[in-house]
Parts: sequence; C-alpha cells; structure tokens
Amino acid sequence: MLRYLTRRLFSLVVTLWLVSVLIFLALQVIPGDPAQVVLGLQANPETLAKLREQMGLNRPPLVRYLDWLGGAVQGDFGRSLNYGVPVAGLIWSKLSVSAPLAGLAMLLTLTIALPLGVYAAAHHRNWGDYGTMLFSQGGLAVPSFWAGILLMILFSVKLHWLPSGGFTDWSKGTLLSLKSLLLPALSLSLVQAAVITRMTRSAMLEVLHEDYVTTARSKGLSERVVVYKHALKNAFISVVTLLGLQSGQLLAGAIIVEAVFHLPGMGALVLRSINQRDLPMVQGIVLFIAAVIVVVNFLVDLVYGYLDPRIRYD
Amino acid sequence: MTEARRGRPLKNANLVVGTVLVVGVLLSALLSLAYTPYNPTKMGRDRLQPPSQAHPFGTDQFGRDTFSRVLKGSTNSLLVGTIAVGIGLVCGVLVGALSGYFGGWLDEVLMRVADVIYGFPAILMAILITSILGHGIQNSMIAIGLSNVPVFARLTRGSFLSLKQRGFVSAARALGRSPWGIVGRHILPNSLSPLLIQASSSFAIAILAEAALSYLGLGTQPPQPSWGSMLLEAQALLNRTLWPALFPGLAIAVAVLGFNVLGDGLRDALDPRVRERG
Repeated sequence: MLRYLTRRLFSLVVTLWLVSVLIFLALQVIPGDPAQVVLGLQANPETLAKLREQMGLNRPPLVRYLDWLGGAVQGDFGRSLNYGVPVAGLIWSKLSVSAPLAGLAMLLTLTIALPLGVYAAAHHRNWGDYGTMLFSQGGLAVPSFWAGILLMILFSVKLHWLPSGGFTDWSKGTLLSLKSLLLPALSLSLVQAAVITRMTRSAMLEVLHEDYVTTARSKGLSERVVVYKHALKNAFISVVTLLGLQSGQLLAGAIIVEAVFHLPGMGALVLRSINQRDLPMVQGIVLFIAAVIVVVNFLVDLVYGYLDPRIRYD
Repeated sequence: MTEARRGRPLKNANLVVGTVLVVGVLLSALLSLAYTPYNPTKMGRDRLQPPSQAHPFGTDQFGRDTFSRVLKGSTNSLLVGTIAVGIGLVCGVLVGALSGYFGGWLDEVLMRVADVIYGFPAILMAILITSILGHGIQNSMIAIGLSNVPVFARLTRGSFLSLKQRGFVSAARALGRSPWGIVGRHILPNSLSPLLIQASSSFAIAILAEAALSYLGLGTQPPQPSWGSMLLEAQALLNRTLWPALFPGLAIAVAVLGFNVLGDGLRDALDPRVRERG
C-alpha cells in the first residue's frame, strides 16, 4: 500500500509539474505587455520601463518560471495585475460560489443518474430502458448553456420561482444563496447526468450477468435486494472512476454556466482575466483547476480499495 | 451472431438514425451555401416576429430571419467541426504512430504530455488557446483541434501496439519491408475503425465546443451567424420574446445528436467486441 501510494504521489507531482510547464509556456506566447496592462495605453515609457523592472519582466523566462513555480508550491500565485491583490486569495474567495455550485451539481447529477441507470439496467431492452437511453442521448446533445436558458425561461420568466441570474451572498441567508445556485447547478447536472446514467446502466448490466448475482437470485432474494444491494455496490466502482474523470468537465462546464447566470465565481474571473490579459490570474486559476482534477483522480484511485477489497495496492 | 443481430432491431437503428440526422445537417449546410430565404445578415423592419409563413422561425431584434441564420449557422458549425477533427486526426495519428511504433522514451514523453492534455477539459483548453491566439473562428478551429489530439493519439498508439505483435506484421518485417511500408500498408488500415468511431464523437464535441466558445464571445464574431452567439443574443431578449432562444439550441442538439448516434451506430457495426454484449 505504502509503495503504491508513493508511486502514485510521485506521478501526481510529475503531472502537476508538467501542467505548470505547459501553462507557463502557453501564456508566454500571449501578445501584450503586462506592465502596459497595469498602467494603461497612455503610460509614459519611463514609468513603463520602471514597472517592467519592478515586476521582473526583464528577467529571462526560465528565472521567471522558477520564481513562479517556487511561489506556487508555497501557495503564492503572485499578484493579479488588475485587482492588485494576491491571486490565491482571490481564487479562494471565488470558491465560495464555484465550489457549492459544483457540489450541488454533482449531488443533483447522482440523484438523477443513479436511479435512472439502475432502472434502465433492471429493465434491460424494455421501454423503460429505451426511454432512459433517449433521455441520456438528449442530455448529451444539449449544451449546458442552452439547458440553462431553457430552465431560465421556465422557472424565472414564466413561473417566477427562481432568479434568472446573479448570486445572493451567503451572508444574506443560506437558503437564498442556494436558491440562486439551483438553476445553474441543474443545467450543469443535466448534461453530467446523461453521461453518468449511461455508465451506471452499462456497469450494472455487466454486473447483473455475474455468477454471484445468479447465486443471490437463486437463493430466493428479492430482485430489489439483488439489484440495489448486491449489484449496485460493485457497479459503483466504475461509476466512481467516471465521476473522477468528469470532475474536470464539471469545472469547465461551471465556467460556462456561471457566464449564463452571471454568477461571480471562478468562471467569470477567468474569462475577465483572459480578456484583460491578467497573466498571473489566468496562470493561477488554470493551475488550480488542473490541480483539483489531478487530486480528485488520485483520491478516486484510493477509494477503489475501499469499494473493492479484491484490489490490492502492491 | 446473425441471430443475435436479428433479435436486436434497435441496434442498427443507431446507424440509420445517425446517418439521417447527419446527412440532414450536411444538406442544410450545402443548401445554405446556395440559397437562404433571406440574407442572414441583412437587417429588416419586422423585428422580434414569432414564427409565421414568411419567417418560419421568426425574426430577431434586428429583423433578421432566424431560419436563414440557423441554416447559415450549420455551415459554420460543420466547418469548425471538420477542420478541428481534421487537425486532431492528423496530429493525433502522427503522434500516436510515432509513440506506438518506436516505443521507448519517446513513447513515455509523448503519452505523458497527452495524458496531461487529455485530463484537461477541452472547453477550458479551447478558452485558453483562443485567449492566446485571439478571438475568431480560425482560432477556435485550431483550439478545438489541438484539444482533440490526445484522444486520437491514444487510440492510434493502442492499435499500433497490438498490431505490431501480430503475425502479418512480423511477416512483412521478415520480408524486408520498410517501416513506412509496414505502417502504411498493414498497420494503419487496420486501425481505421476505432479512429472513424472516435471521429464521429469528436465531431459532436467540436460542434458543442464551437457553440460554447461563440456563446462566450470568443468564437465566431458577429454579424456572422453562429448557433452559439445567436443564443447569447437571444438570452438578452428573454423578457420580450422566447422564440430566438429556441431554434439555434435545437439546431445544436440535432447536429450533436446526429454525430453521437452515428458514432454509436458505427461502433455497433465495426467493433466486434460490442456485438457480444448488450
């Protein structure tokens, strides 16, 4: 176990390092001068040169990269050019919107997808199965931002139940904040649910053909116990893997959905920072998202052992 | 096997439905090149009209005919899809072939980088790349194309690794064929079907990504009609009319559904392993 853990941790670090190199290289190519961004187009050349010196832009790229990496390892992503505050703090503050959004979306996804997937598998090649697959194909085809607009039409424009955008801060009451996150989370989860439903269904189908399920059936256990207790637990292993892989898609989808509903989260921040050439901000956010994805997948690997005792880590 | 197939009439329905939808989108794109009922970028006096005989999908806030714009938008989506999948396929096959055929440290490095890119959400990649290269349709093609490279590279590498060991490849090598001859004659033709299946799914993802980029204002620039930017404009009008928000979204869904279902159908038809299972 320990050996496996060290090996996985090592590959995690290597991956993150590679990501940092790619991000840094990619953003070096962006045309535009960060010092100019801070001072504006009318700045006089002397102040510009001074600031460039101050920001360390005259140093060779390798030195700047090492400097940035050294800071990032310690949780210091530098200062935002636009806001003048530390990048890490800004990301952290935006997480109060983006993290609950992703969490709520994940929760809704599982609530929709697990029962549907299990139902479809239990009614294999029946109308219920075909209906579920139809829903799933539809969900895969509908872009999250269109789903958001449609939900907005129904629940805000027509029914006036939920706000059509914006975020009510947590200090004004948890319920109000959750209310402003509900539609965005729902539009995000419809697409995710389509993927997870398919996966749950095929994982369940595979498991339902195994010998131990036949044994459980011939023991006289009710179909409900066989499906939900015996089969689901094993099918869940493949579903968990997919959830890990989908975490990246979820974060990326959140960027778009935040734009649809005008939520002041990380998505809005990254889009604005890109438009304003706020290099340290963009680097920080992208590295942060990449780190979340890599760490989630690492955790998923560890959860395996718990879910499937046959898996040994050596 | 024939019996198993007869028992599942819906299996091949995927191929039929997918082909019909994709051909439908292709035809409307071809049609829009030659003819649209109105000029898709010309403003008119009938603003925000609901669907009618004259304007089957209604009109937008500038009085432009939504049907013509949706029709024209299909060329935009298909163009981005074709170029993006093309970039992904060519670069991916090249990288995968190098990796799978030569192995060793080259394989190690290439696949590590591919893994990193693969784990990174395509949309975020595309946002990042368009922000580097600048907004616009060409750059979204390149961006979506580049984010497609790892999946094709992985597939090609996989087929190369398994085919490299096969008897007919060893025989060709023993007969003294050059590496390029072996790859071109024996390995590549045998890796085509997984690539074809993936190309269809990737096309669907590319259409979604293009729509998302245009919706965020990073892709196709107005006044050129793109399904994504049409939805962005429509969202601002929701309090006055709903129609402009419906049809472009529907068009995206139909096109994506078509390529996804076609991909499933191709898999059923070409991948022998799938036929066994339900």
